[in-house]
Amino acid sequence: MASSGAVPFWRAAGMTYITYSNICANLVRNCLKEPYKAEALSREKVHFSLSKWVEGKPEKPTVRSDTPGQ
Amino acid sequence: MAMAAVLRREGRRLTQPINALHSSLISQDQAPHGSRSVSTQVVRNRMKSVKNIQKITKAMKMVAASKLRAVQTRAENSRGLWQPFTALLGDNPSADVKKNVVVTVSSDKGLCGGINSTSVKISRVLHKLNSGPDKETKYVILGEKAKAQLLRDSKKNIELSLTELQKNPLNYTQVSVLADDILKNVEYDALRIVFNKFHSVVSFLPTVSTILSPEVIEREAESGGKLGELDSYEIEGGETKSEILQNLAEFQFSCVMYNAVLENACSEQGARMSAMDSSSRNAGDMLDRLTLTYNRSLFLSLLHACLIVFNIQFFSGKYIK
Repeated sequence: MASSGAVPFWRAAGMTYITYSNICANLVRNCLKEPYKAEALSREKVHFSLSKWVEGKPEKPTVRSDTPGQ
Repeated sequence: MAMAAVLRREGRRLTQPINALHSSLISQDQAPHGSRSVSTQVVRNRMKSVKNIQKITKAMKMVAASKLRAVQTRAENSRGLWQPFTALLGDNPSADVKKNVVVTVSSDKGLCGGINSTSVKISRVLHKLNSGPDKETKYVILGEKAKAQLLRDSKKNIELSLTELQKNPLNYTQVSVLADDILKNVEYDALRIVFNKFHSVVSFLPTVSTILSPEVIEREAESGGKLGELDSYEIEGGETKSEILQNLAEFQFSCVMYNAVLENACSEQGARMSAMDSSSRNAGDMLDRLTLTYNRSLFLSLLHACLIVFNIQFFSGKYIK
């Protein structure tokens, strides 16, 4: 991914656009007032398990849980 | 479907006693005494188990129907996310690139008809189409079911597998984190997402969405075509074009994934609903047949008992002097 010129600070930090936009979205959600804030935050729960495969064998799965950036 | 097949098989096995009863009606004297009461017992047990199966399938159908209603609106709303991208960048299913990644979306749970097999079949076709001497194609699998099917013949090509997606209700944050993990773990020139697009409760269209890497988009844009129009947009900020394309490609991938996962979840529930509907209908049919068998054999055994009593009385000389 060679891009000429200065890269944005978040990409320099090793984030993808998705991570960056998720953090931004989370910030916006945190700006809501209380009844809506809890609702919006509880809606966005993350849970899945990921396993890489090497030579046709699955490695030990890692579980990603809960909201990122919290 | 699997359950329907089991029921049908059970039903076929059960037609045997009916035929046996027919033949025993003709050659009644040869049948051993008391054998009929045993078969009534068997039939009654079978009836009970079929009734239980019917109850279970009916309950599963109800659950699937309520889940479907929840996920359907979300899936339909999420279509608005990828449509602008397709308008801007186009869908390029025929792009010929070196590193292909096939993302197969399937469900974690079974009993939902053939939707998982269809997406696996389409993925295999894509794999075959995109394999060549200097090209490589890898699988990224979502859900247990496609994993189990692809494990058999192409486990060497599996790069990543992701499961337990539907523990919480599906949401964008989750799918975007997932998309992020896929992007970080695989190298790609083109991502081809295979999923079942929800059309109605009984029809699902196996669909392929293609996402090109920023370099490939740039190459395609230079060679003209639909992507060449990208230059006519005014873009804010002092960023370079390749950077914007990279951001766009990443965001497009997460949006398309979100839609794909939702559509597939919706199709899964729809398919499960129709599968459960047909298997509870089958169970009902079988129950009817069994009731008929049961009543008939009950009647025959009573008749037999009457005949015995009659025979004894008749030949004991009560009526013949």
